[in-house]
Amino acid sequence: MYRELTMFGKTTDELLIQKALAGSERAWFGLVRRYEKRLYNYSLRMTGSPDDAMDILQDVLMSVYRNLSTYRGDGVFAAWLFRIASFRCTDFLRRRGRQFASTDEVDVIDESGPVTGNDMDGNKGLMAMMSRLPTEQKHVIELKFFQHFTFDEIAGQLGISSNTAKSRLYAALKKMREQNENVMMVKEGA
Amino acid sequence: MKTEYSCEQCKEQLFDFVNSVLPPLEQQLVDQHLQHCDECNADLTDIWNLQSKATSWRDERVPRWNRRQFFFEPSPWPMRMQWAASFASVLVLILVLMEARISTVGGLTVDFAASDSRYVSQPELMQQLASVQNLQRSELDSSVQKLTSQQITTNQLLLRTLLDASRQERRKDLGNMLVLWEQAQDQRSVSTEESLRYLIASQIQDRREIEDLNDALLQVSNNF
Ligand SMILES: [Zn+2]
Repeated sequence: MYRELTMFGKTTDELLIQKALAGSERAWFGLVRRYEKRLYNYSLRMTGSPDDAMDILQDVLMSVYRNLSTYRGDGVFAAWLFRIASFRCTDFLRRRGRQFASTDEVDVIDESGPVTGNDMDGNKGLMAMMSRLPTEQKHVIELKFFQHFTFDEIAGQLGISSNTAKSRLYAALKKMREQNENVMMVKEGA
Repeated sequence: MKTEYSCEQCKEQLFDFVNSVLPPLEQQLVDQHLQHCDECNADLTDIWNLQSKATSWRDERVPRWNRRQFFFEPSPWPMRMQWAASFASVLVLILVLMEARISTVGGLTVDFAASDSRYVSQPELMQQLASVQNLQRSELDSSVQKLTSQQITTNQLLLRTLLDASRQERRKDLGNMLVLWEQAQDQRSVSTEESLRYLIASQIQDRREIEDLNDALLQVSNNF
């Protein structure tokens, strides 16, 4: 189906965008398919919920679709996309935080109680760890460890300084370490 | 001859150190620092641990969804998607609300979440929506004008371009909100009210939240 677009190797985002802007649905779907998995998994780690991740994926793609003509075409489509996604996630998490005004401490106790070794492995364990971080730290962890952006890129994405990005990252690491130690203590105590 | 690294310098390089992409000299300096600094060692271990967790993440499959229908054959409901609108529009909205000092929030009690009855009479809703629409419309215009008359820095110029570009779209969205509501009268249900509540909540957020966002926005705009 996408043969003519990919015949000469990987089509650039820019070319797909150009074609999509010229009205090609196929090019737009090509772009969607190229990024939706990465975006979905990103949202999954940020929200910890498949339903919310799907909502965010769709919201972000719709925003991108509607604003495609404002994309400056400077070769960093992914960065643009994830900047929109991080705004959307921040907004979402803030709203959700207001809805369930629960404290971090309560979460930790609730979730670390019955945890067994297996539960903390794999995707679920990681999502549980991420879920206890403040949104701003979550972003930095995600962008550094999963999207592999440099600190300067992260700074640009989040509209903060590179130094702030670094200190948020180290604060997040520290928080995760403390939580791990809590879990270990609960396990040893049990 | 280079002096030893401080903790700050060490942390600066720690990621590159873990990934072994530092030039030999820097690699050595980090190494040296790590030999006598517990704190940086703890950070190093954390990075290692999280990195190994991150590499063991298995990408989950995106649930099936109808892309064509979503993008090109939008149903009148849920409006949520259409309202969630564009990044640019959200920026504009925040700016507009800030400029206007959200004078409408107090007077305009469209607070469904707080009301006891789940059911709000339709004329009442229509009226409230219409007034939101009118207010937003005039605030948009006045904010754009205000920005235009201000002395323009490069950043403001960029933001203004953004404003101008999405102004029409925002107006259209507001129009759609009413049209879609009318279309959806028949399928009126709890879920339609939920969606409306969502719409209006995202229209009129409280001042603190908007100010937070605005701070972030200003920082972003300064980095343009
Ligand atoms: Zn140190």
